[in-house]
Amino acid sequence: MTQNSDQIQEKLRALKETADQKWRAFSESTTPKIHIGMATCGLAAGAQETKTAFETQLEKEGIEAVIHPIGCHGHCYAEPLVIIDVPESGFPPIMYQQVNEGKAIMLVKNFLKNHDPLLEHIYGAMEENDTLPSVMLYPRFNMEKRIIMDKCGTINPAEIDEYIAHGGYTSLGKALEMKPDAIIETIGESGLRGRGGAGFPTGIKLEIAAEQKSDHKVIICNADEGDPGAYMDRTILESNPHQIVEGMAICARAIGADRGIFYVRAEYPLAVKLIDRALKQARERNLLGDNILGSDFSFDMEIFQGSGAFVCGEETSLIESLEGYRGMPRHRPPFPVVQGLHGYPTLIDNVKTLANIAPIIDNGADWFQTIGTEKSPGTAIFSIVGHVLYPGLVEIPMGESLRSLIFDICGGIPDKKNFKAVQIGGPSGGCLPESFLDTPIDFDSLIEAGAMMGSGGMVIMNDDTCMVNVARYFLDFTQNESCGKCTFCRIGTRHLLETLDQITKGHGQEDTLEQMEKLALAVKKGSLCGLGRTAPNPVLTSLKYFRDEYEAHIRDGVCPALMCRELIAYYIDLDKCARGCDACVGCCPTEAIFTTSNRKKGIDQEKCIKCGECLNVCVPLYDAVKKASPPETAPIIEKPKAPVE
Amino acid sequence: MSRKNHKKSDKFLLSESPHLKDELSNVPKKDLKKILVGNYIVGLNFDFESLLSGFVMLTHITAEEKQKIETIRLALETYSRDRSSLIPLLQKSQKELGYLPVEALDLVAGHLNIPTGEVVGVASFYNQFRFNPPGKHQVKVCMGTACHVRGADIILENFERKLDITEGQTTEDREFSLERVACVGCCALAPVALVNEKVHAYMTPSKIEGLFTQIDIAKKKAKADQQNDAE
Repeated sequence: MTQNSDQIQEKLRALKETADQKWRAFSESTTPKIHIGMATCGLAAGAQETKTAFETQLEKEGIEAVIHPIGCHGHCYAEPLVIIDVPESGFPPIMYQQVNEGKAIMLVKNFLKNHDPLLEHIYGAMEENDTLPSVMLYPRFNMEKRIIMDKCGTINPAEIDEYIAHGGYTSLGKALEMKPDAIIETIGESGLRGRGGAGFPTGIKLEIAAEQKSDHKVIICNADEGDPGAYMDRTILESNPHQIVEGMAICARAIGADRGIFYVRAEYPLAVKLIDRALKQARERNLLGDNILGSDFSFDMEIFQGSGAFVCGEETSLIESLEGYRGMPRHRPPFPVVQGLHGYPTLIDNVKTLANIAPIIDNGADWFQTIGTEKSPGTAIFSIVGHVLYPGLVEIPMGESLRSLIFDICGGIPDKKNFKAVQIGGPSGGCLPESFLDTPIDFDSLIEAGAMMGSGGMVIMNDDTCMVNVARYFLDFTQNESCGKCTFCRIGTRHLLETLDQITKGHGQEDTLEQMEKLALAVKKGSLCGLGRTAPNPVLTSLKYFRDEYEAHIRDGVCPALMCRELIAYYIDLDKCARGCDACVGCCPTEAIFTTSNRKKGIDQEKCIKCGECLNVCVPLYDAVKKASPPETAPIIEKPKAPVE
Repeated sequence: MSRKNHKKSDKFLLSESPHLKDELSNVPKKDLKKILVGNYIVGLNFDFESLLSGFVMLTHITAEEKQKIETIRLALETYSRDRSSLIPLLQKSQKELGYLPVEALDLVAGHLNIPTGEVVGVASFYNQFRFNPPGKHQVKVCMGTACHVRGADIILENFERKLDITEGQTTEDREFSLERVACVGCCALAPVALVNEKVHAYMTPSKIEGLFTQIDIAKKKAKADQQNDAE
C-alpha cells in the first residue's frame, strides 16, 4: 500500500510540476494578457466578436499580447466581460464590462499601447491596490462564497494543466490513498446534500451504492438541465469541467464503479465539446483509464447527449433514455442505486453535487460544515433572472436571506418598480411574496414556505407581472413536458392549464378556484415522479399568496397587473398626445393606429394585437399610451371616415 | 403543442407503403387532405395539421438528401446494434440531414432490427428531433422564464404572423422555420430570439420587421452579386 501511495504522489507531483511551470511562464511573463469570458452567455452577448476585434487591432498596432479564453464569472449583466492585465503599466489586472468591438479597439489603442486604462470604462481592479477601486468593494463580489465556482472565470476550461496548477486533481490523489469507506465517511460527515433539488444526503446514497454486490457499477453525472431559466450546470461544465470529472472519479472510487456517464443536454454543444476535451486530456495523463496514477483503481467515462426532455432529469427516466427508450419514469423501489442502468447499481448525482466532492476531500468535512447552516452545509448557486438589476449566477452560503440575495447582492428591482414575488425552483417551485423575503435559503426552510430549492432557478418579478399568467406559463411548460405515463399528470396538468387559460381570458366561474385547488392536490398525489408531484406547486403557491389577483380576474374581469392580454386594452390619452409625432403609427405591426381629425392618434381596437410596442416607443415626455383593464373602460376614439390630409 | 400531436399520427403506416408515397408526392398540398381522408385513414384519430406538416414534407426528399442518407448508411455500421444506441443513432442522422425523414427512420430501425414505429415512438418523445426540414433561416424564440415575463409570447406571435406558419413549421419555400426553445441562457438580454444561432437581444415587434428587412436586403445583394459574377 505504501509503495503504491508513493507512486501516486510521485506521478501527481510530476503532473503538477509541468502544469505549474506552464502557468508560471504564462502568469509571470510581462506580456499583456487579455482574459475574455467565452462561455455560452458571453458568446451570446458577443464575446466572439470582441475577441476578433482585439486580435485584429493588436495586429494593426503591432502589440504582442496573449488572449486567454476563460469560462464564465456569473456576471451575466456585464457580459462580454474582459480582464486586461498589462504588467508594465503598473496597474493591477482590470475588469471591463460590456466590452463590445468598439470598446475593444479603444482599449487596445489606449491601455495596451499607451498604458491609459480608460478610467471611465473600468468596472474594477481584480486585486486590492492603492490606485483603483477593487471589484471586491461591490456586494455582488464580496457577499458571495465560491466553492463550486471557485475556479470558474480564472482558468481556461480547455486546458487541464491550468486546473492542475490551481490545485486540481490533488483530491483524487488523496482519495486513491484513502480506503473507500473513509471517502464515504468524509462526505457523510460533511453533511453534503444532493444539489439536484430534493436535498438527499449524498453520503447515504454513496453508502447504499457501495454496499451493493455487483460485477459492474455505474456512476452518472446528471447534467440534463431542462429547467427554463436555470443554466448553472452549463456554466460550471463550460467553465471548469475538470472539477466534475475529478468529483466523479472520487465517487467512483468510493463505490467501486467502473463506468461513468456524463448525461449532458445536446442543446449545450459547447459543454459537450469541453467535456470531451477534458476527458481526453485526463486520459492522456492517466487520471482516467486503467490503473489511475498507478493505483489498482480503473475507471473511465463517456458522454451521452440527452435529447431535451425535461422529465429525463428524473433518475429513472434518465436511465430509460440511456437504454434507448422513451424517457418515462419507472416505479421506485428498486432505486437506481440498487438496480439501475441495465440492472447494475447506478449512482446518479447532479453536477453541483459532484463539484462539491473535490473541495470536501481536499479541505475536510469540518471545513465544509463551517459554511452554510447546520442542516444544509455548503453553498447554493442560483441563476437569478427577471426584474433585477444584476442578473446572473450567484453562489452564496446556505442560510442567507432572500432579501439580502435580491436587494443587496443583485441590486434590487430596476426602473423604480416594486418587488412583487420571487419564483424559486423553476416549474416545480413556488412563488413567494414579499412577506417571505426574510426566509433563510436552505432546503428545509424553502420547502416549509411552499417553494423548493429545485434546480436553482430564481425569477424576480416586479408589480407589472400577473401571477395568474406566471402560473399559467409554468403549467404550460410542465403540461408540455409531462411524459404521459400517469393519468393525473397527463390529464390533470392539461385541465389545470385550460382552467388557467380561461381565467386569464376572464371566463372563470365562482367555484373555479376551489376546483383548481382540489385538482392540483390530486395531481400531486397521483403522480409517480417529481415532475407530476411538483407540477401544481406554482398554482398552489400563487393561489395561497395572491388569491386576490385570481379573484379580480374572475369576478371583475380585471387583470390588476395589466398583463393578461385578453383583459386589457391600449388607448391613447388625447390630453397628452403630441400632434406632430408619428412614432406609434410607425411602429405598429398591424397598422392599428390612426390619426384623428386634430392630428392626435387613436387605436383601432379591432386591429390591435396588444403587443405593447406603441407604449414602448411613446416618448417618456408625452407618456400618452395607456393600458386599461377591463378593456371596456378604455375611451373610444372615433376613427375619421376619410383619411386626414 | 404540435409535437404532442405527432405522437398520434401513424407515420409508420404511411411510410410502409412506397406505392402510396410516390403517388402522393405529386399531389398539391391542399388536395392531399382529401385524398388521405378518402383512401386510408378515415376513422383513425388523426390530427390533420400535424399530419400534413409531418408527412407532406417527408415525401419531398431532395436528391442531395438521398445522397446523405447513403453516407449515413455507411456511418451506421460503426454503431453497435444494441438498443441503447438508438438515441445516438437518431442524433447522428439528424446531424447529417437536419431532420429525420422517414427514410432515415427506416434506416435506423433496420440497423437495430426493430419496427420503424418503435423508432418514431422514441424520436417523437424528445424535443431534439424534428420531422420537417429546417428552413434556410432558422428562427428560434426563447421561451425561458425571464423571456416570458418580458413578453416572449408576443415575439413568437409576431414571427408567426409575419411568416404565416405556426411554431414547429417550415415555410413552403424552406426559407424560414420557426421554433420555440426552452432557454438559450442569456436571460439578462431578454426577450431573445435566435436567427441561425445569432442572438438578437431585447426583441420587440418592430425589431422583427427590421430583421426581415435585413434578410431581404442581404438576399437582394447576394442576387445582385451573383449576377455581377455571371456577367
